[in-house]
Amino acid sequence: MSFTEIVSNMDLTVYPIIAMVCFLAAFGVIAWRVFRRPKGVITHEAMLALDDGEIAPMTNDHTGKGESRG
Amino acid sequence: MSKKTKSAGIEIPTKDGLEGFVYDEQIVRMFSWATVIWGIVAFLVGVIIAIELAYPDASMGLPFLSFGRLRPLHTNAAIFAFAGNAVFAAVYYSTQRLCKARMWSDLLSRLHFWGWQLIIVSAAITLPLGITQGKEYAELEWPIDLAIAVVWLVFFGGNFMMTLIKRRERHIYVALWFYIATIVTVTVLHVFNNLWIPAGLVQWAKTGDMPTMSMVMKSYPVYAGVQDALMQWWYGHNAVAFFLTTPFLGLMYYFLPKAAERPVFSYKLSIIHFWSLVFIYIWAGPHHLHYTALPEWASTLGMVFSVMLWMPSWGGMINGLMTLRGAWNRVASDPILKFFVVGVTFYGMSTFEGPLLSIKSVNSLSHYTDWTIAHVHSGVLGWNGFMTFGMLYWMMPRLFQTKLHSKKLCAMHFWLGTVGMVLYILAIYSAGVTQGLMWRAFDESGRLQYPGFIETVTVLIPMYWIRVLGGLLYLVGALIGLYNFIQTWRSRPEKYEEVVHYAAPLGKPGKDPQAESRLHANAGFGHAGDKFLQGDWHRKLERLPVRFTVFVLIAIMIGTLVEAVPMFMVSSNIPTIASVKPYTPLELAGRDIYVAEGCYNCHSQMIRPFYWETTRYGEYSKPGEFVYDRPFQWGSRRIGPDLAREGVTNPSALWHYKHFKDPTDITEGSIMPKYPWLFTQKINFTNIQGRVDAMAMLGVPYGDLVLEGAASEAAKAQALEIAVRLEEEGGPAPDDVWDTKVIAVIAYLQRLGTDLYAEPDVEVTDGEVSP
Repeated sequence: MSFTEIVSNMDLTVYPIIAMVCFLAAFGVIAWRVFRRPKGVITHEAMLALDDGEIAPMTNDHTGKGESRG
Repeated sequence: MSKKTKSAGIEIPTKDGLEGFVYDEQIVRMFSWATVIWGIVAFLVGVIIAIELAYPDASMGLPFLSFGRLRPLHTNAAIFAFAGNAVFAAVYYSTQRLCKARMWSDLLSRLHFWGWQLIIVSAAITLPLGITQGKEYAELEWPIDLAIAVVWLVFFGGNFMMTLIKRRERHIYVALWFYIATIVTVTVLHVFNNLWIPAGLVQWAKTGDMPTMSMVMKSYPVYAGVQDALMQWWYGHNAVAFFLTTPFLGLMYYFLPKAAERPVFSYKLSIIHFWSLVFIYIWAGPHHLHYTALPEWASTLGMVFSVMLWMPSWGGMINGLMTLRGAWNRVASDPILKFFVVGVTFYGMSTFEGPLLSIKSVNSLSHYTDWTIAHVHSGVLGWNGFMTFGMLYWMMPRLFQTKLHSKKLCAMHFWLGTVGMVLYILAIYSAGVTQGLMWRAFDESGRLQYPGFIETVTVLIPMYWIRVLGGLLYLVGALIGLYNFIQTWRSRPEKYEEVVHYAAPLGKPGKDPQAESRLHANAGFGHAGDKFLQGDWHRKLERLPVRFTVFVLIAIMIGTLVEAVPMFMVSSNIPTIASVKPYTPLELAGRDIYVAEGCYNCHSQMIRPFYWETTRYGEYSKPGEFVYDRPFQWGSRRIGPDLAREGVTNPSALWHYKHFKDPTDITEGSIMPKYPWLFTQKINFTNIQGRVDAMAMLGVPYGDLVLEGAASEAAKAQALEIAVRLEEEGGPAPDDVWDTKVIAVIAYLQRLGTDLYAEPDVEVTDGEVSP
């Protein structure tokens, strides 16, 4: 029996139900995983958007040139 | 001697073991300017076509100004030029900071920028010329498609992934996850929806003669009919999802905390938001095809997943708004935060409305009406537009190392944009619901209450004028924004200061502390299980960009394959109809003109199985009727009536001839533009052979018509036949019209929907349906 025949003989009306169950299972696993994450880790990760790193203005001694007006 | 690191070709000494680097701000400035300029172009073209709906003579009889050709330019400019450049500006600004690294290659960044602008210019030239694939948001022809693939995947995707690999921050922040999903999914969507055969190249390979430029650009998709429709709306829906949603969520998760000066409300929620959205969105495309010839199982699948999208979408929206906790007092005085708040609110409104519209019973009313147009404009102008302007107002002064020229003008831009949007969408919501209800209204005697389609058009004209006003206000707001940005730029320093940032180089992930088992059991399996449950594997995964990308790819491919494989493999999805035959060469040429003129922007070719539709248009459409339609032309909107049975209900050649010359001569109050060029431009009969040959390569049974010159001769014979019939009906002399384009389009329109009633040439076999 070819793959085409197998797929053609399936009752595709149950597809939406199977798909929904698959998603809910995946959703449950992800949610469970996320809420078990250590608080310190989460706090560090959330702060990354505000952290631009340690900065120092570049002087011409470093480069001998600056970015031109553009 | 201290060690040095190289950034932008500059050697920077390390400091206390930290590596120094400078960000590439120039590329962000370039994309930011492109965003503003193309945004204004997109809004301006939108206002022009809005005026054309209310006042059709505004196109002045010029082909390149006609609604059908300009509407794709408007949508492509809004999506790929305005929103696209905004996404790139956001990605280049935030990725460098989140990775604590300069973009991997300045050359690739520049190639990306100039390549993308060249693609936009190509679109701006080809679409008004009628060079189009005729599929919404995928109109650009094959050479431009190839350029998009290279610029997107190689220049942009390659540079982005290498920057992630070379980063100095261990954790990949959630905004970057959204960017990864965008790059991966848009690549998959673009490639699989743009598989075609270039007709001009087929002609050139067969004859050795160089085809005309329009023929060189012409292509036919490898998919036909129902399958083409599924692929197109899988693409179309996910272009919204992965071009207009996920990158803007990345933007939100980075720039909103920046503007609010506080971290995102819940990072945990952002992770759930990401995986749920990526997994669910890809399934929802078939909701664009409810009650069409698409199989019911696919349609229901699309609806179920669309409704499920409510959860992650609103999770993300709440996460965005709650990020402003403790900062709401600043919203009143800070127009930048106002832009973000309204932008996120429109995200919530659009993502509530989207699932609502996907519910079949709601969709039966809303589909083909202006309701959908209101929905997409609340998404693009409200969510994408306002998030973009919020980002630009926050970013531009920093990029130009100065202060924003005028906070008052920024506030004025905000209010003009907001009022403009509200006027626009309220008018168009009203128009949509009015249309939908009028189409389905029956009187006491059981007849259509508004049998003339024109009645449902003229009633909308006042709403169309309000829409023009709303669009104008939004455009004026954007022009004020442009002025504010130019004035800000003018106050920049003589030389930009280049700021050196420092960060520690990244160690190998394996050196991180490993999870310890918390169990007292002595079973190795139990200890391994407990370590697994502590989630080190997921944290490692998040740090490995290539593996993470593979997981994203798997998440989107599940939905894609589950929908596409049965659609292509189950023969019963598209029962063949014995009497359905390929278009004649002249009808094919006429169809290509129909596609080039963008008729699908106003007319559907899909009668849904509702009593009010079959009463108005005729027998409902069957999947087997479209097996030779490349591309499918079901459309998504009815500014004019459905044409699926036009050949049955309106077979007169003279009617169509007069209608193209001046629609108001036939139908008083019609808003269809005139098509004077169809009466002067000649049919290229030589090209018709190339069109037929390309179709034959795709499996269309053209038989002897592929012999040299056979298709061209057949087309000439049919053109003469129609011209003679036209004269018999009281039209012009055949010699004056037989070789003009209008004859080819008439041939196509006279064929539409007639196959269902034709006698089959051969005996009906198993698996075929007798008409």
